[in-house]
Amino acid sequence: MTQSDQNNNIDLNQFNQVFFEECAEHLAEMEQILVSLPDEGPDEEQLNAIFRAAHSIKGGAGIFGFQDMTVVTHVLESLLDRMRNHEIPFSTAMVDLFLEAGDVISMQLAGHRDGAFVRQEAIEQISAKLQQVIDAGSLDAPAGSASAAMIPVPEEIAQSGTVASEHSDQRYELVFTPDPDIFRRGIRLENLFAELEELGELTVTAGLPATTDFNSIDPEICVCSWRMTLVTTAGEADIRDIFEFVADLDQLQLRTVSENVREISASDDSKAIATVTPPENTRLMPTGESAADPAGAATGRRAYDKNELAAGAYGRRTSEAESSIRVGVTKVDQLINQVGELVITQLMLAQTATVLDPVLHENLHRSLLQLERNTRDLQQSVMSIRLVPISIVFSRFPRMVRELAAKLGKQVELKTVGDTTELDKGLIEKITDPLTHLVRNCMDHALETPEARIAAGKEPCGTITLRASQIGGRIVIDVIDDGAGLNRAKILAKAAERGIPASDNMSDEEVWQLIFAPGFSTAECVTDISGRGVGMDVVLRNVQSMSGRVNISSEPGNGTRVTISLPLTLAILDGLSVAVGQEKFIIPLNSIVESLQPAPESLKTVNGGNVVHVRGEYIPIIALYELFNMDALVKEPGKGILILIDVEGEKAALLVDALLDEHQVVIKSIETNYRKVEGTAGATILGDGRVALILDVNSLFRMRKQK
Amino acid sequence: MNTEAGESLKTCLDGECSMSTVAGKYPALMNCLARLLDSGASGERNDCSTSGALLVDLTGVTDIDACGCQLLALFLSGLKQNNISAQLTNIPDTIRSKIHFLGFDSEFNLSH
Repeated sequence: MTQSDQNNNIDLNQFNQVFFEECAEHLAEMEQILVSLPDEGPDEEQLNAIFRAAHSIKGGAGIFGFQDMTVVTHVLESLLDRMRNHEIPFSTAMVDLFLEAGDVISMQLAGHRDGAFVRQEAIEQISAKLQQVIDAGSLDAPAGSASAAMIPVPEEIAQSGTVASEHSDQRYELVFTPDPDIFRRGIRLENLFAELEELGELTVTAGLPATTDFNSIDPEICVCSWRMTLVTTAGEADIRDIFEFVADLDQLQLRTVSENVREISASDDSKAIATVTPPENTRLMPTGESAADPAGAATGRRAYDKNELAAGAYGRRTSEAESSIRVGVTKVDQLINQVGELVITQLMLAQTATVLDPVLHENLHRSLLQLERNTRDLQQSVMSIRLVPISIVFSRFPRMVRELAAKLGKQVELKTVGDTTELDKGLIEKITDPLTHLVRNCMDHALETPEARIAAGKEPCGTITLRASQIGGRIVIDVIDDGAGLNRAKILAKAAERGIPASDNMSDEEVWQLIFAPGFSTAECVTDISGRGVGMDVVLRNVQSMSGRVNISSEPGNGTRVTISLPLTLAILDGLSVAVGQEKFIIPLNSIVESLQPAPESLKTVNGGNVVHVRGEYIPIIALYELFNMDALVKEPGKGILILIDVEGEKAALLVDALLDEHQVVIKSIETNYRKVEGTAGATILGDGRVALILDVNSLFRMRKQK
Repeated sequence: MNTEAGESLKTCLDGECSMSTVAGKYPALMNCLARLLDSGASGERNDCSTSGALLVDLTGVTDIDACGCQLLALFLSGLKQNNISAQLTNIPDTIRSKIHFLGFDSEFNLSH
């Protein structure tokens, strides 16, 4: 392979990746709209959005050479276009059909992106199904029925019997106001008009601005506009396709005057163009605006682009989105690391400056303070790049809930609140599985059947609410259902059966925590949805691996709330630095309860281990110097400082020589740069340039038990 | 391009009248308009059929595109704003077809 070939391959792969990402986004958007459709079917905006997603996938696939992906998307796009033109009516069964089509396209995407297996028969089947609907004119009607029957026709015309077929001519009026640079871009309008003429009978009239000072014009700048009429059997999309690379949305106004043509066709076989005149006061509007005009017929996708800004429009592109760029996560992580290094350098400078006289070096100290502020601001700004909205996770659930509800014979409404809440991309990826399991549990166990709900005096339709919010420095995600609630007696009985320590004296909160025990399940039958008892413990472990917490509250008959609390990011951490011998450690602040110098009488020995008596509790002491096999200045608990830590109810007291300072530290992977060090969650570089290990409190508990 | 003064004023356009040539033709047309204004051609000759109306002779025009049509239309419009009547003459058939196809018939007062 030559260097040039390599370069070409590299470039192509980069572009392919962009296509894969965009295709996945379009599929997700399409699915989101489909599962949220009301029974009466999509409105114009929703239909346009689905169409646009299919069209974009098809266009991208064609450009990037994934021709196989254009097969399904083409027939899907054709069907959607017929629906947009009111030629084929919507039916609820179409949602499943479109979702199935989306699945097949996803499969093809995975085939190209990940080398996953692609079932050709699935592609052929869905293409055939979609084509059958197009041919039949509806999902329910037998093949061959006239789709023209679906076209809304004015009553008087219908009675006259003049609308013979779906292919009757349409008269379009277009006003084209080109970009001023169109001539300079080398676009030849003759070719454009010739293409239009191929569609049917075209008349063109050029117009100049009302007043122009000839002495001050730029002859290469286009100031003309063109008014055209086109009588054709082609659809609006075909016309807009011709302008696709020539005109922006607001440069082409298009409307149909189909009724006039039909009336004249009834009395005269000749084309109507010479005799049909639109009302003088008719204002030609961009089709995006014509949505408000019931006579304005179907709108095109470019029109939809404009109307995406309208309230309630799906798949909208805000000005912010349009000005965004797509950047690889590795680049962002590299930037975060570099800013982390900058923070460390700033800390080093600050530390060095502490020995300098603040009066003699007043300017230097002032500048260092400014540097600290700027560095922190920069760090926060950079960290925010990794933050993504949780809607990315939430958006996968509507379809899952819809399908599970159908499978279980339950009626379920899914509500999401706080979709725009942002959290770290790394957390987003890890939180998906736990949330999926919780929602499946709600569907399978928590929510009752419609009959049971009615018997309990509830609405037959249950509700699952996913709610995300930022509270302080943490993200809180609630999974709430209005089902039967947890059954305390059943949980306690199951715990006893499984040998899990439990008693009737336990508080509700403690009883609810039992369901996180490995292998715990009160489900009476194992289903393929949940109930194997291998879920909630995995949920807890996954959440804890993100430094998160899980809490449950439940009320019999009224439902359950599972609350997951996560840190905003995994890249920086608030910690307390402590000294043990010549070394320094960072203890995460969120696990620290308090620090104390123990009174001699509060220290005891139990089973050969040291404990400290604090407010009625005996808390085991973990001597860090022992755990890490190092020298320490203080080896007697009574002479050192104890830091009480609490993780998910498990407590311990860490023995250290001294407390040093509170820091916001940049977490560095010690595993990547050195090797795994048990008892640590990483390392950071302190202001004096020394490396400090960040303690992993959970693994300290494990290490103590092993010793 | 040249402009002749006779019973009626006449100016001629030659060669290709397109995006690639309009920048070159524009100064000549601007100059023509200025000379007409200087000569006091405006104000009285509103009807092309009367003597003194400017005739724009297109005999030598070999090709025209939308950009060329626009320049010509703006020139005629500039004349009209100064009350100078003008008329295109000797339009080759191919050029006439293109003007029609590009929709400039009415701007040029042509019937097709």
